[in-house]
Amino acid sequence: MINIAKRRMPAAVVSILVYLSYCAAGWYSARSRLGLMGIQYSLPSWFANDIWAFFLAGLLPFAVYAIITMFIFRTLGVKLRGNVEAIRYGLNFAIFFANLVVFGLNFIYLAVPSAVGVMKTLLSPIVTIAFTSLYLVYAFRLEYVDKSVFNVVVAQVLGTMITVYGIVAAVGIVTSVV
Amino acid sequence: MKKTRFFIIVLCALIAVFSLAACTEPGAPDHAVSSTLYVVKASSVEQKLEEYVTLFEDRTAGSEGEAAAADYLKMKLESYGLQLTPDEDSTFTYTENNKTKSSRNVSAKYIEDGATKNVIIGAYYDNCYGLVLNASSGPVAAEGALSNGSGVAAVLAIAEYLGGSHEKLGFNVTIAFFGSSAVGDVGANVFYKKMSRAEKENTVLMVEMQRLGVDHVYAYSGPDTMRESFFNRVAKDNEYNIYKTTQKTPHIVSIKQLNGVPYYEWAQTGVYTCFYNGGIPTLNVVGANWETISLLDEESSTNPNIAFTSSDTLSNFKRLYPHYGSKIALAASFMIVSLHEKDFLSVMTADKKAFNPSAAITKDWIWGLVLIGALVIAYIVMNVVVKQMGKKYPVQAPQPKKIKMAVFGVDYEDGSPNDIFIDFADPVSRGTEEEIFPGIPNNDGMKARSGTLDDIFPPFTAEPRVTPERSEPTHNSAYTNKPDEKSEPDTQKPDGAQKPSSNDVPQSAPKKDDVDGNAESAAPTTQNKDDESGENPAASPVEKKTAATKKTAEKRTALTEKTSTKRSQNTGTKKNTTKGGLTGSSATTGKSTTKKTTAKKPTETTEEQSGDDK
Repeated sequence: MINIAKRRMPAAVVSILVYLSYCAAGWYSARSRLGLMGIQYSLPSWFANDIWAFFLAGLLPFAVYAIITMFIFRTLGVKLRGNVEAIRYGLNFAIFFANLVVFGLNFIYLAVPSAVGVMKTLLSPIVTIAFTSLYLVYAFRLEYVDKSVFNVVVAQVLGTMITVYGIVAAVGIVTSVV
Repeated sequence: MKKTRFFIIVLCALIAVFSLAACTEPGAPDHAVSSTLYVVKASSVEQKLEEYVTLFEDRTAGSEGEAAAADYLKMKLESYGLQLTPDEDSTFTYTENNKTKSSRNVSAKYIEDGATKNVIIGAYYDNCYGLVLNASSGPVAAEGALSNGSGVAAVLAIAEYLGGSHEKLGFNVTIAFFGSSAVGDVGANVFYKKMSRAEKENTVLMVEMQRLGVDHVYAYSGPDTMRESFFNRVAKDNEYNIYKTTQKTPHIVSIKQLNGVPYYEWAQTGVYTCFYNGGIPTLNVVGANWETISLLDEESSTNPNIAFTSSDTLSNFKRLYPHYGSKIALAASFMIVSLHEKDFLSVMTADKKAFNPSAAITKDWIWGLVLIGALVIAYIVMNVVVKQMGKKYPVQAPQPKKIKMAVFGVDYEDGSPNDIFIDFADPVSRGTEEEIFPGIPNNDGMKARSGTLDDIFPPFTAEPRVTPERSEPTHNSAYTNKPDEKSEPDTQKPDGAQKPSSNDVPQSAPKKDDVDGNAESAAPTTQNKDDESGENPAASPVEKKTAATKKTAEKRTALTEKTSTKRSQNTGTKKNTTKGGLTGSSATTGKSTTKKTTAKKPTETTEEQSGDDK
């Protein structure tokens, strides 16, 4: 089994890859929001286009991801009193591939346009949590942290992810109804 | 690493390909345009447009110009032989800027004998010539050649065709012109509300024609509908260059924007909205160019938008879009040909039955609840897994890396050779090179006692017992110290110097006792209390005792050597090196004094201790 933590890429490269993956995953929703803003605020066409939509799509999700993972792994480092850098590094790749899958699944809209509401709400959280869970299994097998404390890692990483997606979903429900 | 890089490059290339693919022209018709059957001629619609816009430049909602335009349209419909709707049924009032204004819809019907079903084909006929859309600027002064003189011309052309001779359609057609649409589609809403229940049930389709004549003509029906596939087939069979609006246009996320009805693409705004909300299927025939990467409602890939601006004049429109006539004729012809399709009525009837503008699948909040439910389940599963992992891989107690043990007590009972004796009364190191606790000299050079009680508890004597071979102590012991004085660290004590025997009675004690006159009795008590050896010098068996003491000392020395050897074997080079006086401050608190090591080689323990202490 390949140990990705042993083949370290520069942190900047990894960050850029994750950011681009967030751009790809959120591009379809972002072009809708940018289009609507174009009507409401009379945005110029040089700004309200697919290129800007692509790069703006990843800004907020990437920032949220960076802050949340920083919080998660600092807490883990204190709890476990050990090095959690390996598991943190590998999580980036799990998120990268999850976002690519979300990007590909967005094209379901081409076949079933009416499913766009389902895709928008369910797709990203489910795919991301699934990929993160698979990655934790992988990290467990490679013993990125001691097995006796791996349950703490699972609880912290997945618990935080589920909580954040739950809050976002709740806010989405409130705004759509109100 | 090379494989990883290659993989990442391939992924980025795929992302780029997908992105570019989205920027192509999926809305473009997939059929070659070799010949087009135009039922309506381009020259006809051009003449209608020119006449309408020239005569009625100012058609501001609620103005006299709009009323005049309404009269013109009524006259035109009547001339085509259609059955007009009475004016009293078409007039309405509304409030704008706290002013009550009057406007009018104009409608007429093409009725076939025995037909019950109905199709509405309409367009808004007013413009925003006198409207102030921007507070910082004056009236728009838009003649409305594009918006919506072109739509009016197309509908007039269809009405003219219906009034002429043609094949029976099998259903009725209502031609409608809606007023005051620039102020919120007021006319269309009034028209829909005035429809009877029977009329609403029998209306299978509502068609709007707007902003025709620009780059492309789009016909938007709605995603995954029967009418969408129907109209697409009609366009393909007749080689009409009609564009589909599906995946290319952005999905409008804000459903609140459009009265709570979920919309998916750009072609969603128009006078037909109220009909759509009311459950009547709609078709939006609109001019635009949504094939670029722009996310806005673009009219052209080369020209700026002119609708609802002062640039929307007839001359400008002709100049920017010289083929506007053929585009308007194309839209009108497409509609007429569609009406004549044999399965038009059956498809529209079936489509209306399946039409549900508020399907659950399109409600975002429903899927939000589904997501929250899924997250709750995921959370529960995660907790179960975490618990199972905790049981299967329990946390083991950390194995201590080193154990520091300090034995300060003295076990005289069994005289085990493993016991370490430290005499605080006489801290001079005796015959041992290693200090068990650095800074606290060992004084267990004496051999283990033989076990006789006399050796352990020598009889009380007034005279201190002296060991001939030992020298007098060169520094104060604990017994010679005054109560408040601390003992000095024996850093300067020469190696191998013999400590005063623990059996020796401190000098001060007898003095004190002498003063009290209880020397003989007190001294032993004091000694017993403070002196670990507890042996008092006896008057008669002095020599005996001296010999015993000598023996004891020898035993202790041997014991110490044995113990030291054993300790060094057990612990290797690791040694706790603690420096400090007899107050034992460093020994007990383990402070920075542990950084200092003995003369021997630095040990891992010392370094670790230093690290721990930091």
